[in-house]
Amino acid sequence: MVSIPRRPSLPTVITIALWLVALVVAGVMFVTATNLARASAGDGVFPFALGPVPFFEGFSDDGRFGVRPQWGLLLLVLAPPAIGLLLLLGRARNFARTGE
Amino acid sequence: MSSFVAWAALLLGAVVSELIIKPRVRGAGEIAEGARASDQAMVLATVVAVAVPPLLLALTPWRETPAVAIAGLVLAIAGLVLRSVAMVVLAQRYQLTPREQPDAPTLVTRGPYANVRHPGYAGLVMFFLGTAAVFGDPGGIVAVFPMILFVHLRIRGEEVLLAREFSAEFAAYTARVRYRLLPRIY
Repeated sequence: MVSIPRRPSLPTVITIALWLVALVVAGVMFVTATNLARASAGDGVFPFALGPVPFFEGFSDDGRFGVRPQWGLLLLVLAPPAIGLLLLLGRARNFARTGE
Repeated sequence: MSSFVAWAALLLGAVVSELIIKPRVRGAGEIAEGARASDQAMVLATVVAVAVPPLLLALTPWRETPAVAIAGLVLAIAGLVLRSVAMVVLAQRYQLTPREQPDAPTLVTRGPYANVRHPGYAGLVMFFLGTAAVFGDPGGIVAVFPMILFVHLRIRGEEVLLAREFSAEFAAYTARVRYRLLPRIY
């Protein structure tokens, strides 16, 4: 729907790098939350948060276990493009004013 | 589950339509730095508009509203049709990156361009608003706001280019077709 730029600018490179970091961080947190739920002796929930931000919630219920995503995951997905868009905003506004 | 199928089918339809109605490849024509930045911002805004609604559903599945989902499906299909028609009508003038086109010196004012000045972008915004709403959670629509902001900036930049290219003819067109995306609103 939109053209894929041939030469990515610095904001795009920063965004992609941040996304890769976020992917690794999310992967590590997912595995940790899964392990917590699996290793639990009884039923319960095992929130996995960094500070006040919850990312995953492991659960163990009657022998079954799993992981539910929490709203912190949304931050992890949104923060890189939000930073990229903020970095591109100046140049996009300049294009809007001058066509350059 | 059905909302995911509808969402995937809509995205597939959009990709197929973009592949079928390709812009004419041109070697000539300077692309401004701002136009490139605008392209990159649109890519990021598209990723946000595509990724956030299903993630919201995973976080808050209880908020599904069937009426919103059906309205979203209809809006997305209408947007896809409008964008496809706009691209076909633009023909040689259709380009993904905004720039002056001295080798196709015709201002397109027919078809949907007789009603709004940027029906392709209107279709794009309708499509992503509809796609976000397919999950039945009105909150997903917020994910399209960055795209709306950058579409607004892109339209203003494109109009600067069109005014430079067509001066009096473009001024007459903007006087005749007063709205950019949505009649009587914008």
